[in-house]
Amino acid sequence: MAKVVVLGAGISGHTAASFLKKMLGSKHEVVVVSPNRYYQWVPSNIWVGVGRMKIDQVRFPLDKVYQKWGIIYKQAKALEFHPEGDQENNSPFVTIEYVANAEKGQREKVSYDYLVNATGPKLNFDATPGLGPGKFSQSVCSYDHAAHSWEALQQSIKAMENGQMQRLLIGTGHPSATCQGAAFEYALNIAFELKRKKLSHMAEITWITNEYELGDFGMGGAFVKRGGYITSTKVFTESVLTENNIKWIKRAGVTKVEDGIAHYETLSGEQNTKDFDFAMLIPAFKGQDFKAYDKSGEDITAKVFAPNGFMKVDADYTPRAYESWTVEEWPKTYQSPVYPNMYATGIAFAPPHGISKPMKSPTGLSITPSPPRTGMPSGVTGKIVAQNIAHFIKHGETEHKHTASMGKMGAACIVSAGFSMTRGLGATMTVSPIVPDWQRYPEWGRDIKATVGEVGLAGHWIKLFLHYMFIHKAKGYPFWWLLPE
Amino acid sequence: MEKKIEIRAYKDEFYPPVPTKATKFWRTNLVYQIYKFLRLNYKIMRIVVKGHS
Repeated sequence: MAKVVVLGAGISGHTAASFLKKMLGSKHEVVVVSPNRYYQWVPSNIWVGVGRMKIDQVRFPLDKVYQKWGIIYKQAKALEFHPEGDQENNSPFVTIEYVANAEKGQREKVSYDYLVNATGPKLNFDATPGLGPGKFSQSVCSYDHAAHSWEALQQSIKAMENGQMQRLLIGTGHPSATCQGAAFEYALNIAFELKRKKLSHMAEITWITNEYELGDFGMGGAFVKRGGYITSTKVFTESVLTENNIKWIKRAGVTKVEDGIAHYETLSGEQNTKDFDFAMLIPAFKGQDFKAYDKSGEDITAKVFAPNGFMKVDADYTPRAYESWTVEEWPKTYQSPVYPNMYATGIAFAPPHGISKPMKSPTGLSITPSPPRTGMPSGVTGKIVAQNIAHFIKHGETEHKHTASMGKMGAACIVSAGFSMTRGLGATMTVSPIVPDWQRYPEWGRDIKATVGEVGLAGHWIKLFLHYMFIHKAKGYPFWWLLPE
Repeated sequence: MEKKIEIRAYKDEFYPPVPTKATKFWRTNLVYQIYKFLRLNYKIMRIVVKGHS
């Protein structure tokens, strides 16, 4: 009997665990270790943040689903990796610490034959002094953050109703933050809700971003066929913001947040501030603070993990200038180069480099979005790793039958711009591949025929449809495995 | 009291294209959007299928 341990139960980890169990059946063991007892459909947190969905519409408890599937679930956080075992154990194991119930605080060594690290990002609010819930800004990165954000936003709405102008600041809260798409959606949804309440004239909404140009989204922007032209997402994004009367500050790295004031440095080296009454700013991401040890107990963290805490996989990490980057450097199997029975999927793998061109201000501050790996790439990488591991266990082979490079796969991003079945809006964007392949597509870096950028009610329907479809899939309802990632 | 007019000329938000009344109408026209819903889903599925090797 083989034992596969999956760390994390987000989009990638849950996908990996569900397919592993389906393919391996009861003959083999699948264990999920996650400190959060809920699965959450992160893309819908935006709607929690504007009061259009309740927390329980975007999450559900994991234990019932795992019980039904026969997956062992441990509500705990992983602390240490021991890929060679230790002096007492020859089997590799991870040390975990329980976070709830009677076992809270207890530690356990969980052995494995295969390990999937799908622990996602650590929301690094500490990288920007004053940033984050409980300090001076809000977040929509998790359902509880989004719910708090909605509470704070309601205070601002109340102030507007009482005749007070409100300054709303939405965007990135660190010079290297990613997930611009989520913040962008939030800005548009707020604008839509204020329009619905006839309060638009009482709000000054500002979009602040570390992107060189709007529409970069951490993937170097994109080009779409639109209105008889091939147009950059810069134009597309500026148009959407202008239409919603949202002003913008670009090339800005937020360095500090105080009560009602965001401090930022621009790529030209200017030190500026922006006053606000309400701010939702996305933090920087980093890997979880794992430690790794070899059999003798020597610290091998730097061998297994990159300096940012994400796990090294089959990517080419040789430092190169932006002009020399190619899609070949991006991982295909997500296997650790030092321990072949370890994989990292979703946001947990260390990308070889960014996708957007690195930029620095005259003071040396790097103001560049990090590469996104959320949503579709998270699900796809979780699935192919599960397929490969199941194949190895069942057939005793070591060749990876399934691969998924971000330099080959495309992605669809549905940006909600207002929640309503008849008046709502969504911007539908597709790119293929995610990482521009300048060798294959020398003009635009991507397949222009596969790239879409459209705004309309259909986009809202698609986003809502995807919400219900992915919740259906994650709950393991009938034919869940037929639904794509 | 004289209404204060905000002049946007020469500001960033002065230059991007903005949708016309007709564009806004078609964005929420139910029949057209049902067609768009089907077409966009087809385009997304093509990308999704290509992404799974």
